[in-house]
Amino acid sequence: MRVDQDKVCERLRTELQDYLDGRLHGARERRVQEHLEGCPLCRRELEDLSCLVAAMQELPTPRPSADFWPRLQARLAAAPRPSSAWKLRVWLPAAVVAAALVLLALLLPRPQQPVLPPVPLESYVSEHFFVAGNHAMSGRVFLPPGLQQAPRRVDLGDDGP
Amino acid sequence: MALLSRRKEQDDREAFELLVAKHHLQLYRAAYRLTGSGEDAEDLLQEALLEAFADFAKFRPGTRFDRWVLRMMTHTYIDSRRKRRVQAIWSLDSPPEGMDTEYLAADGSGDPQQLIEKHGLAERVQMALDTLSSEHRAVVVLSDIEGMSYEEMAKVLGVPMGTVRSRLHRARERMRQMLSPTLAHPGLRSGRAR
Repeated sequence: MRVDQDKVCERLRTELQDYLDGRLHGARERRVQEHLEGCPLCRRELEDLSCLVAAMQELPTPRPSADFWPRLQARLAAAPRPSSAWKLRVWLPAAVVAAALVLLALLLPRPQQPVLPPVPLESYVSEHFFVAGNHAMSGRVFLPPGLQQAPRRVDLGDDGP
Repeated sequence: MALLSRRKEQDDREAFELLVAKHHLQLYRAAYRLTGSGEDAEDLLQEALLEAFADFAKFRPGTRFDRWVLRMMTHTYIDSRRKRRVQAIWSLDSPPEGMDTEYLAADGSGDPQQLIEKHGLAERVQMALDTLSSEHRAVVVLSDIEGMSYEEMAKVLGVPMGTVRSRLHRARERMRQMLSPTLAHPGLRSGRAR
């Protein structure tokens, strides 16, 4: 019987501090209350915890020594200005990164434009001739003046100008 | 421009000093309970305040200054303890020299505050606090001395609420066991339990 009671105590003991801190509600709170009514050991433990917390809350407030304030003021006066120190911490790395990127862009070799050999006019025209000749919409071709062997205008339907 | 800059700097410093003047006793109390000595508490608080001053441009109206500094101070404290790795851990089975566990047997009257001063309970509570690891001590100080909620502590310490809860419960349980004879004193018990 005592073994069963110990198990209940053990289980509820983990909730005693939650109960003390007012963090239990509803059925959980009632369960702890009911157990406490019939268990002097857990009641004693709760009282101990309650006294401990009260003792800590009532500890006297110590005071710093007389030279605490002058020492702090002297250190604050010697410290860097808060806003500038903060801005410097934020902006300095950003400025360094930006400068490095600019330097990198200036130092890197620029890509050379490939120099292509001139394309003879005839090959250009003949290439486009075959493409236009295969036009799915009209099946007709357009050739510049001088190479006229076909009509000058091509009917492209809806795709036309 | 230089004059304006100097003026701004002076305003920042004055505003900061006003806030420190308002909260320094509470901050010093927390520092004292964390470190367990006046000298260490002053050093810790000065370091935390200098750090706060360097970050003062980030401080926004509506933020609680005491909580803001407490966060920095707690982290500074835990970091310094981790570095030093010096912990005076007492065994629960053998109280330290000079710790009389029967010291409250006789007097059954008086309010708790009087008992604390009369019987040196404050020292005993501090000694029990000093046996805890820095993480456990921080959570007890923030909760039971500074009155922070679990949510606030989780934010200040940067740990989940479950961690705050388990640290607090373990720390209190250890202190309860250490101070059990003291806590059993009838003068401390009257009307305390919930």
